[in-house]
Amino acid sequence: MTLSLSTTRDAGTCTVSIAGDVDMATVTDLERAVAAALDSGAEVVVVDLAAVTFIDSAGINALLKGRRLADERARRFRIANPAGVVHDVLDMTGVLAHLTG
Amino acid sequence: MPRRGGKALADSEEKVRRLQAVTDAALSQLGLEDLLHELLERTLDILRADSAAVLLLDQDGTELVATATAGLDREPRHEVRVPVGHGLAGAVAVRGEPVAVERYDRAGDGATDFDGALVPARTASLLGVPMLSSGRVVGVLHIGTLRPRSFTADDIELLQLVADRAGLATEARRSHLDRAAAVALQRSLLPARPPTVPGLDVAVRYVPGAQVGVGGDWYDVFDLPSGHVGIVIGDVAGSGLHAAVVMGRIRSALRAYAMETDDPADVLTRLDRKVQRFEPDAMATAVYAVLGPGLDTVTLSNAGHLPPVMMRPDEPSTLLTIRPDLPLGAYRDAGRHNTRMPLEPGQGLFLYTDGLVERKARGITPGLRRMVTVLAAAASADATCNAAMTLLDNTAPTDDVAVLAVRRG
Repeated sequence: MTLSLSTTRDAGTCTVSIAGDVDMATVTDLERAVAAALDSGAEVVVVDLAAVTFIDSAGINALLKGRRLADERARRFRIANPAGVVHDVLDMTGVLAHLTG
Repeated sequence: MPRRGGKALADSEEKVRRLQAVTDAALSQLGLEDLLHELLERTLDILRADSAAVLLLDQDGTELVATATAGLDREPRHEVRVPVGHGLAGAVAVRGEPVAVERYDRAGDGATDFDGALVPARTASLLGVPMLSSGRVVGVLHIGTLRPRSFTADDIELLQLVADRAGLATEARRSHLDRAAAVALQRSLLPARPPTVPGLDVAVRYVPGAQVGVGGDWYDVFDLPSGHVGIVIGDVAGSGLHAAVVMGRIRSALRAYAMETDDPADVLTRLDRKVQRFEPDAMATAVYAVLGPGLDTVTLSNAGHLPPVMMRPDEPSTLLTIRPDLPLGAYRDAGRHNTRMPLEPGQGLFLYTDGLVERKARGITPGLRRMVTVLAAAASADATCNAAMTLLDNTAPTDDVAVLAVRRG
């Protein structure tokens, strides 16, 4: 049950890169990082999922919440590089296009 | 004045020992309020104080609710609530550290006298300490004395010790009660025996998660005035009592909207609107399927849920990979659509939550493939559910699991 996060800032984009399992035990860390990125003043927040190895419904909800929060604050939010299992789950639950768009 | 160590220390240890005897022995027998009251009575004795009160922070963290008192002229008749930031208790809650008031000056105006209801008239000095759990303030304990008093470091330390014990007891009680309440709620909402629908074979299972206990998963089967039959599987994000409570509301609301229209996408659209409006922090996935009055068609709408399984006699089962719409509560005015298909005699649907198939060790796709294979041989709804349970490998799943199978007779 590990999740590591790093945030980088480039021009107007704040990228939160996460690695590990996103589940009920670790989701709060992701939520905090996304909220902080949205508060950072960046126009665009990108959550890079390239190194995520597992995501469950709690993790998906955190991403959907990020998208909603971004809308409320007139920011843009998207995920990048969902791979393997993570891509499959997001696709199967119909949220992939909503989160990558 | 004795220095720390020697007799003073021995006294302190004796006091703590007496205190501990109360909290440990009583924990299993007394209700929380009685336990706190008992603890306060001992506190008066140990600290030579005249009054004491415990206030617990309410759920949204804005007010402290008086939960136990001792030594008051009269018990408050109404629930006493102190806004965080006001009065002695409110100040302690904000700072998260002890606050001593050596000369307590009772405010003349009752409306702003936040401490008044919890200290006797003629109280001269007050000492309040925070009750902490994992570094967060969960409540405040304060004592009052009728004689003016300068509280010593020992007094503060001892009261803090009492508060720590009270905090532990409160948290233990709360989480125990929460778990018990969540289980009771879940049991009342998810009857183990589904309703009988003529011509339809129905079976259900619910398995609490090993890590999360009872969560927000649910299933539902009901017949509608129009002769249609509604079947539901859903998963409210989160776990424990809160998820179970939200699940109960969403489940009831879905039933209510199902009475108004036989169109599943329409029902989920109304439900989504309700969730966005009244449960702004909640999110849920669900499949809602409506069987026609002759049970010969099924129309379903999927809100972000894993694909249902279509089961056919003498043929492999298949996943209904219809494109799901967004989960409930995910996004305002999300579009929703229906998929309609015939249901032949002997055909059935199997609905499940993600705990059944998602395992960290492997991807979702192998999990789904295995599920479809395992379900293929089942000859009844009950056998289908039994087959599904074999996917749990005799170990409790991490997440909770709900499954529902229906088969046209």
